[in-house]
Amino acid sequence: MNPTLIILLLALLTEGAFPDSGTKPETRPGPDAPPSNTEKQSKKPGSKEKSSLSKSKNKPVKESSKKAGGKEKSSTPYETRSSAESKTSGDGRARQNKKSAPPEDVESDPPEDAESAPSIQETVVTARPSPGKDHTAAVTSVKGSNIRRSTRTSTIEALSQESAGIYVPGRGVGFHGVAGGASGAIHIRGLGGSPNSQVLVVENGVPDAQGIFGHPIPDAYVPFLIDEVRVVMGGDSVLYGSNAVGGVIIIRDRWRTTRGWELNNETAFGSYNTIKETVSFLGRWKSFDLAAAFHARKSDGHRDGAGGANKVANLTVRWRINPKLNLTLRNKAIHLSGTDPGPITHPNDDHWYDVLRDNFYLKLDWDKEWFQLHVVSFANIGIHRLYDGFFSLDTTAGGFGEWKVKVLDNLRFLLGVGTEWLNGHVENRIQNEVFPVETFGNVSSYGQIDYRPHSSVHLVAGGRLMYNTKFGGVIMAKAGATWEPWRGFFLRSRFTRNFRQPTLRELYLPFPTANPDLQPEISHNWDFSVTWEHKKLKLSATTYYSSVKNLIKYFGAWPSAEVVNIDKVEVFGVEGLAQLKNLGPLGFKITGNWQDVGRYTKQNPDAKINFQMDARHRHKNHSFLGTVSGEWVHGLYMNNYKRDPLPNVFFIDMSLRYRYRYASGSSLEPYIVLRNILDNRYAYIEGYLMPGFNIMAGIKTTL
Amino acid sequence: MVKNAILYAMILIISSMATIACGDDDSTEKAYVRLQNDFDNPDLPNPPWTICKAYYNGTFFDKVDIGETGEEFEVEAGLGYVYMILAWDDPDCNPEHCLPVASRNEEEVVPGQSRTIVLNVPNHQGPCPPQGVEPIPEDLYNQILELWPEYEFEPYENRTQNPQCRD
Repeated sequence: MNPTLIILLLALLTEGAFPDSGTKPETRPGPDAPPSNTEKQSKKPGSKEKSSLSKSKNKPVKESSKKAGGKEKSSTPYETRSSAESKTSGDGRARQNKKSAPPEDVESDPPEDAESAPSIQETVVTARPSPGKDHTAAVTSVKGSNIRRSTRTSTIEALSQESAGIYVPGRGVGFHGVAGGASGAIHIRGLGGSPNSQVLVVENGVPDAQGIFGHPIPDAYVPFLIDEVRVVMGGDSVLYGSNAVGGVIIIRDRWRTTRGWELNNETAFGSYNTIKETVSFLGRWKSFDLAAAFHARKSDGHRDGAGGANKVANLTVRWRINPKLNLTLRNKAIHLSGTDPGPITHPNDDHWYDVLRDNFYLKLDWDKEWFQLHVVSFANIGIHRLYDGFFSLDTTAGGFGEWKVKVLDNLRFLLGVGTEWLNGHVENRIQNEVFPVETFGNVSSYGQIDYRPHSSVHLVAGGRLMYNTKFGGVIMAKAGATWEPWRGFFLRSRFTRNFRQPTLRELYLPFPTANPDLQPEISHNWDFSVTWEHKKLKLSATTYYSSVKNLIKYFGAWPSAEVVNIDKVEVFGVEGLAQLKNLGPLGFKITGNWQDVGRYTKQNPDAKINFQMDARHRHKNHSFLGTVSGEWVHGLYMNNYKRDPLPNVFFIDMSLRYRYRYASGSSLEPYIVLRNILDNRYAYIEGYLMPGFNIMAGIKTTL
Repeated sequence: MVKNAILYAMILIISSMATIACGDDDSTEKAYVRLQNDFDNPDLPNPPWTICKAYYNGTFFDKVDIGETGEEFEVEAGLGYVYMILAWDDPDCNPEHCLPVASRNEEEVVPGQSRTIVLNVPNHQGPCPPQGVEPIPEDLYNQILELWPEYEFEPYENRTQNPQCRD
């Protein structure tokens, strides 16, 4: 099968408007930065969401007005965006939001049927940068609909497809697993990896990590409700606390923004007896919003022992007490089961795992004209069982309060206090051995100043002071700036000092050894970006340098292993992005990353390239979308010091989607995903060969 | 004017950050290592091996008796095996009781680190017929022969014919 021929065929068959890939710029400018051409065209859009809900939903999107999306030189920098947003109230959705939804949520995704419509320009519905966030950070922003449509088999792999600076190895058809033989280690610009404790995942504002091993569970993230994922490259411990060393993956779920309800169902079946069923329900009645979803995925795997089953359920309820005040309650339950098949040369018999986790939070949001207050309380509990008798019960609980205030039109402060406590129980139920673990926790205060001395300049500085009951005080800091000297041309730089606290495992558990005297790892990250964005072309280049000191490192082997704070990681690299857009029905994006990671080469590749090409067509109620995407990874090693090299990874995936929309607003969307169409033999992890050519076909229904 | 000022400020900030980021390089690639003879570990079998000679990452080490920890030596930071001449049940290290042995683990030290490398039953591999101990790979064996030719050990093909193996 020749993908080039298929794309050419698609190009010949298609015509009409074509949006970009749906990925926001890696270099995020300030809040009043001019939107991309795509955004300009569609930012009138609220009409887009409106179209999805009204009878006119199938009509082509009109040219946007300058008011809605164009760069406006307002009297103050902060007014620029807000005024632009307020002027979108010409459409039904915006009016509705203005009446009832709190401003923070106005930017929530449109209903599922609209967001996944292949012919709709997507970037417009991506939220503006939240006032409390760091506008000088390098951010890769991916819409939830893009993740749902990705050919990759897991959410974090889909993120890896969007940016070459993110590397995520797989081991099969979407089950990363836990413990020995697991994949899904996330590297962001050379930091992170196994375990993932140098990368922080924040889900709806709440940090998410396994309490004992201190890292996110790769299989826990399914895109059924995701509105947007933002990956902050270079870390940000000032705003997000511990573990935000290499980067922060910020997941935000969506709400329905108009009264009524919607039901989405996706059923798919594919190679290796892989079955996927996802159903989500969003509703809005009177003062309540509801978002509920269930996802189940099961597969025999592409080789013996590579199968598994994941189930994730989510229920979120929001009470809009008044237009400025709301209370949100959310619970997410996860059950993961599967096996580690082992390397093909030494397959395992029955190395099973069974994980049950539950995340809960309660959030109060108060949003006034000149300030916002967010108070969050959360708990994260998990039970992990392994074939070898390992049993753990871990708990992470905490909360924070964050106050964002607009002091002047061009000056904003963010102040916050937070606390987090970790505890766990670990035993081996075969050997009847209990491993004592001591609770520890921290309290911290943090702040950020956001200053715009000129409409083209954005300055951000911040700091965090944390006191930990185990290892005392830690100070974090950051500073960044963006500058737009000419329209569409951005310069950006940022420096951050971040930290990672030792995990309970590293402190107390003999796997293979522990050291209760460990201190936090400290990182210093710096990057500099140049971005040029034109109507049809976007180019971006970034150079970065990171240094992690006090590295927590294991030496030796049982029974004389030791774990100590020693050494440092130094990473230097460059990233690039080139994107062609608005080329009729076609779009193309390529991202590349090269880095020097010194001696820490284990699963930390020298170079990576991701590419994607789209072709779209829309005719009346019919929509077509074809994508071809792929990944190339070079300089991959199984161990540090460039030992045990692996052949380059290279594969190409493809997907074809057709969508029919009924006048009632319902839609049917059958699709087929063809993975590894060249049937290449490749592996990210030695001995864990990835699947050859495989297929997944499904149908998505929206009511 | 304003843009120029901002440009200069930006350059200053970036260059400062770059200096901070790049100015903290390691001034040394050396590390400091002791060898511990752990062949009397009470939790493990106790073959009576005395470490007569050793070599690790560019440095020769002195004799280490059973249960003792040797002096600290400066080595090149990095990854490598510990190459050794061990004497079986002979604290005097007479050549007829000696064998070429290497550590089982490829041991690592990083710049500036002080580390004690522990050598015991799980962390050694030798030439004699397997008795629960990993057979030494050929390249490691030959490296030991090059380091200490005066012992005149048998070539790798005949490694089991070394005097100590025949005892």
